[in-house]
Amino acid sequence: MNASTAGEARPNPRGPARYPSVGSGRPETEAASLDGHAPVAQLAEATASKSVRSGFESQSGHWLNLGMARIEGIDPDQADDRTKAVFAAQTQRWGAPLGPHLVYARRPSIYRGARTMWSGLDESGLLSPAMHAIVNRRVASLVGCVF
Amino acid sequence: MTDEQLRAVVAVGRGGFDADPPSEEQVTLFDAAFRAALAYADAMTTGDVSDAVFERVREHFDDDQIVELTEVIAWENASARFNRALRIGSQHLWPGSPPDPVGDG
Repeated sequence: MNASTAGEARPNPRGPARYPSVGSGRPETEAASLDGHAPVAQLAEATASKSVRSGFESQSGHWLNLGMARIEGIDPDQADDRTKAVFAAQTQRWGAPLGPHLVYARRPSIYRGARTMWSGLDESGLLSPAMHAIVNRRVASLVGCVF
Repeated sequence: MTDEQLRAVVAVGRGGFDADPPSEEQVTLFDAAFRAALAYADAMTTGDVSDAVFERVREHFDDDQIVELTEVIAWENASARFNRALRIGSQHLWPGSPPDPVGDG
């Protein structure tokens, strides 16, 4: 398989379309009692407990699972219009906004920079999407990042 | 890209793609270019890149491809370390996603 052409359907290295999307159900935890309008303090209190998975249901009804994240992501419904559009596209593709993106979005300039890099890597296009995806997964695994 | 490849790439231990000769499973699942890229990813992520590892990369990729590959690996290190440090959980988009980290695990 040639390194520059290997691969099949083009997956997004950060979340392949052909794999199941999130949103298959709310976690069976206390956090499920939080509603989409929960104030930040309430979310922070919930996520401070290691017995509670952080996450909440947005106003648009999507369950946002950030696992045991140490810092909460933003509520996508409170994002600026451009970021909302990004999250809407993710929701359409994956079933919910991507967790890391919700956290990046706390700092819009950093989130814009990260998205620019992801786009730049995709657009470069000298290596196959499969090469990108497999290398990414290997690195994430070595770092201990769940995926 | 197959589910078997995605699972194998997690199952192989550190430096496992540097084995000479490679295992039968690796040969079956990944061609020499993939194995060189994975050995490069291991080296960049866990330490330094030796001349031997880089020469393997050169055998399969031109300079422009190496720039792209290097940035793919470097950027994934950045984003994966961001996720890891903040304990951002999995949304289980990939086959074989491990459990979310607990505490310092």
